[in-house]
Amino acid sequence: MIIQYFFSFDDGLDLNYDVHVNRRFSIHADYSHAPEWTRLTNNQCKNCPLDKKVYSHCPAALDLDKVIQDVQKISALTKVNVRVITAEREYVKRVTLEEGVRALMGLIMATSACPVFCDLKPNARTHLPFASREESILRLASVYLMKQYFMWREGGVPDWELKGLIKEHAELQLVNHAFWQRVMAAFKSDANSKALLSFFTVSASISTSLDSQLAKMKTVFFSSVE
Amino acid sequence: MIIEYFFDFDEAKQLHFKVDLDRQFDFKQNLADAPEWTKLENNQCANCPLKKTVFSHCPAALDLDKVIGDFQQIPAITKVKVTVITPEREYAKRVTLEEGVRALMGLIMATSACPIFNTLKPNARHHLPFASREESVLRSASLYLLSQYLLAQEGGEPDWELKGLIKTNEQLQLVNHAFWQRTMTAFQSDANSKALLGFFTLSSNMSASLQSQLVKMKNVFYSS
Repeated sequence: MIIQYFFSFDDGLDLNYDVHVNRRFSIHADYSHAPEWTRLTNNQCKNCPLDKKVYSHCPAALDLDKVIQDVQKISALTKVNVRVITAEREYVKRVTLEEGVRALMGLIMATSACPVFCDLKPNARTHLPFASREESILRLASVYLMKQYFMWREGGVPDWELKGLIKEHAELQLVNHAFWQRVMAAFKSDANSKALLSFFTVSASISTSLDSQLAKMKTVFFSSVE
Repeated sequence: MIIEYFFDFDEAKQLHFKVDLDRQFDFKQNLADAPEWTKLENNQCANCPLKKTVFSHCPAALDLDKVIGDFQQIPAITKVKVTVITPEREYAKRVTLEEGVRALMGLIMATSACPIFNTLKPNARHHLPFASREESVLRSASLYLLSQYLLAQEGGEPDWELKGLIKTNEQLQLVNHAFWQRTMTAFQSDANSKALLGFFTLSSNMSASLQSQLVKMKNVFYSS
């Protein structure tokens, strides 16, 4: 499955990206020319489970490098037309570069070989670009419950209380924060850092207040009753 | 919340529809001129809970009437570019008219005053036009589980086995079938009836074999 992103700027600049959702990471590839900031030991996440002896570089950073380099000189507030093409349909929105980059980075990170971002893989399969806060949280919680359902059907112990989801996001919060520092140390770049910071905000608000976030969405389900 | 649909045909014809998701049914409207096929007792669904004394017409049929009229002369396989605009984003796809009409009709029916279609309202709030079979089943099941979670949070008895979802789809199956008959008797129209038949197939599948439909989607969660 390939998802394509097209950024069309008003000044005629076009940037295109193909994200292979099922891509594999090779530890044996030659990373001698990979930029310094992608090294695993550079601002490595506290909870990173990767072994330095096996992974010389951070797989998520390697995957993000091109996007970050491409947009680092462009202001976060620049308006841009973003088109996202999946097998099922096309999504279009005129957004700030920050919002466009956030959608693309989210997809790339969730499908990278990072074992922490990996929790988000099921969400990447049903990628929804430019998701609002409500859409993000609703999707995270409902997809997590679906996973529990499958586990339960196979004889496992399901977590219907979303405790694991909160834990996952506490982990993601650490990774998002460290990742933001990693990028800032290398680039001090506007659109990139704002986009990455907003991931940190989402994971932080899920790990600290998922219940109240979800309670706000009751109207989605029970509005017809009122 | 308003969702807009634009149908752009190759011969430069354009059709435009606005769907207000929060619209309320107007009991006082004058339905004297409403077409025959929208009358409640015309092919009324076997499980229709509406009282004939209160509802002279089927609310879903009244809402669909404008759309059906616009499409009935055009073959179902006509290619058309459909653009859907929601507050969050724009969706586009070049599809057969049947597929485009299905997306629009699904949204209209789910937000109509029909008490059976109403069970789909949460899905309409997160409308996904041109959904594949996998997307539809996955979304229905996962949103249903989330509604059970919220129910449990309020002290209710959650249904983790999706029994309620299967029941809902049995009801939807009856309605989709009767609704298809209702339009067939009135129009014998290609794009409309094929689109409606698509709903019947989906609800039949979900009530008859939800479990095995879902099993096929396990790879979404365990592919890594």
